[in-house]
Amino acid sequence: MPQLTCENLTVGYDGKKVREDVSFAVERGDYLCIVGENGSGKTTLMKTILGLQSPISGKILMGEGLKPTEIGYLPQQTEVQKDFPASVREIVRSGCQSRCGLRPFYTRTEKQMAQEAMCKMRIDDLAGRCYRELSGGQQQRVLLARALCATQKMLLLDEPVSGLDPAATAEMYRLIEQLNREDGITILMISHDVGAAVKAASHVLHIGETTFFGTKAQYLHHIAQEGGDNTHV
Amino acid sequence: MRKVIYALALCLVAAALSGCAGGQQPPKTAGSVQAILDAAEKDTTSDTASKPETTTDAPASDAPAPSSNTDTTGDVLPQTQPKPENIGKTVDLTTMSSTMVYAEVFSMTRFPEDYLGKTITMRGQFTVYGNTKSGTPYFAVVIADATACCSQGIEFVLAGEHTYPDDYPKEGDEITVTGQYQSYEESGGVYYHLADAEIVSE
Amino acid sequence: MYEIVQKLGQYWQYPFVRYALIAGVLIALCSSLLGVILVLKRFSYIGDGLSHIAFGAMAVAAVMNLTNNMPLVLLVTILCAVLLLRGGQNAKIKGDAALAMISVGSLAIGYLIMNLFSTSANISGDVCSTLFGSTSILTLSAYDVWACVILSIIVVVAFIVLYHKIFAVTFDETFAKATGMKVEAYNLFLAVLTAVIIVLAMNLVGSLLISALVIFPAVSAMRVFRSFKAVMLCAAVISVICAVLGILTSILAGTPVGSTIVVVNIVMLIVFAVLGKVSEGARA
Repeated sequence: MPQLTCENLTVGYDGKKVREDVSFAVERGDYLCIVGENGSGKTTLMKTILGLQSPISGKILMGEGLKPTEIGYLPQQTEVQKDFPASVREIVRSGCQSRCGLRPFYTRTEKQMAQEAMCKMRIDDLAGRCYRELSGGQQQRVLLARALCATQKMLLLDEPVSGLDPAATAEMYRLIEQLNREDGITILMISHDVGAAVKAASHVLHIGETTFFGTKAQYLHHIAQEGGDNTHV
Repeated sequence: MRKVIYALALCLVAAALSGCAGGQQPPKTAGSVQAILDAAEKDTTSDTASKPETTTDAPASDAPAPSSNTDTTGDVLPQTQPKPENIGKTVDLTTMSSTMVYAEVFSMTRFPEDYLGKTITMRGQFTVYGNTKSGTPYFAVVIADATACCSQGIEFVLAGEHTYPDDYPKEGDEITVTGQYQSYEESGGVYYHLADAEIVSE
Repeated sequence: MYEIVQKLGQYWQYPFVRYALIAGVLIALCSSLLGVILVLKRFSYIGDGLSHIAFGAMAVAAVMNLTNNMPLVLLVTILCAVLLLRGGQNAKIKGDAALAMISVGSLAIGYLIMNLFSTSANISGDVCSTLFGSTSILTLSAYDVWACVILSIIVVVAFIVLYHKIFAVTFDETFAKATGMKVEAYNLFLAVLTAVIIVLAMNLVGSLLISALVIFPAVSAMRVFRSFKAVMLCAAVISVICAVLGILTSILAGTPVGSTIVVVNIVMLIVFAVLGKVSEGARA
């Protein structure tokens, strides 16, 4: 059984449909890239998968013992976070909250886990630094480390490289690929930058006028047939 | 983190204990909105309604004073009698800041039992109120709080024979008055004033 | 200097001075803890709105001649806090407009009720002392102080126990929700806490000046400190120091308590802003 299956999913908010009839399945260890124009409902789809809003119709099925709360999430930066006084360590550890339940403190294991996540994201030397003083790329890595504390199974990334310079973008893609290859974490990533994103992906979900889902090879074939697309792959 | 929490907890316990040590005042009986002498009261013709003190504070009956630990044996004493330990004690409001004076006068009108028998010296505006045409006028020292929006007054009765207005200062003059804080009954209500008072010359 | 110490020693004899300091310290502590969260969540103005609502409730309680107005005021304020903080996320009426309307509305209605029905002889005095907290902290009864101590203990303990969760929810509500935290429950809890603290703080500075007590220590602390824990602790310390200094100044110099505390807070903010600039310069 696939780790995550969406069947004829219609998503939207306040009863307004944003995207209808989306179906796809993600196997463990897949790297799915979700592409599509602005306003095509990528973020809404992701929020629906995360359980932040309920689907208008259709089904979301989880397999292989994946629980809805075990999906790590890298949201787009919010206004609040830009000048939030918090150290990197505090933020990464807060990813462990989901497993804390009502326990008020972090256990040694959880602190250890946060430390490992920071090492993996190469931000362990920034642990005591203030989040708002970091560069965009560093901030994204902090949030990714936090997401790693929340899950070891599946990560949903919403535009992880938006606003980053080319070097930071490349580093980010490299880290995500590494998580996928070495740690076997399933990746679902929303991206504008179709070319760069599709390079590492194993599967592509294109939502827009028509919804396409398939492996990277199928997708490349698909857009080659469509012909008119100006994406550089 | 834990250390910080222990420290905070300690502080709280300390604060709670100190609150406990001072917590022997009788419970509040009237609404917390203060009944305060209004300047307009000067013209009222009703005697009883125009007392400067909190008339809503019916003090003796519904305000048992748990603070009187020392005279638990003498429970027959009415609450309005001065406590023996108060006699001879003085409260000098003239040396205090205006904020303190206001708070102390407020405390005197809310918990009069604690002040009965004490000799009070206070400075404020001389005010006459009551029925000035037919009945006896009442005299009071009025003080205002720091924001000047609230004022409170304490009535006083001069020692010896005096006639109004000849023997009294002009209304609105700043005066200093010394007298013993006492209770008296009139028209079924209990009021407080400074008895045997004298106006201290500057 | 010696004279000041002597004077303070003399004033310390008065129970209401001790009450004022105990209550002042506790209220300042609680309001600063909460203030950090409210400022970060962009809810700085909520304190102001809720305090006006509390004022309206107080007016009603005064007219009804309740001997103890605390429960009624607390209840009304909690209800409004829950409505406002929940509605803040996706209400039809924009959050800030709703807040402004409710706060001004209850202020007006409260004042009107007091004027029309009050049995007290001095309405302007009542209103003024409720709004500006001229001396109300110095007129607390033992009952008020006890209520204050108990509520403060609850607030501080709740903050300590839920510290990490509060951090997670404040920093990133979406992420917290996605990973299965009960964000709504925490927001509700925060709303209730806000209401409780506002009602307590009305005694200290009056309802017009509450925002200062909530916002200033948090903003001051954020100038200098860069981790959440340090900001929280620093805000608490600043707030307590300002409250004590403010109360002592006002009883020594005869100034109104509420505004004195606020002025001390403003001075503290300036000091911390300068410190922040200096430390930033040293860093660069």
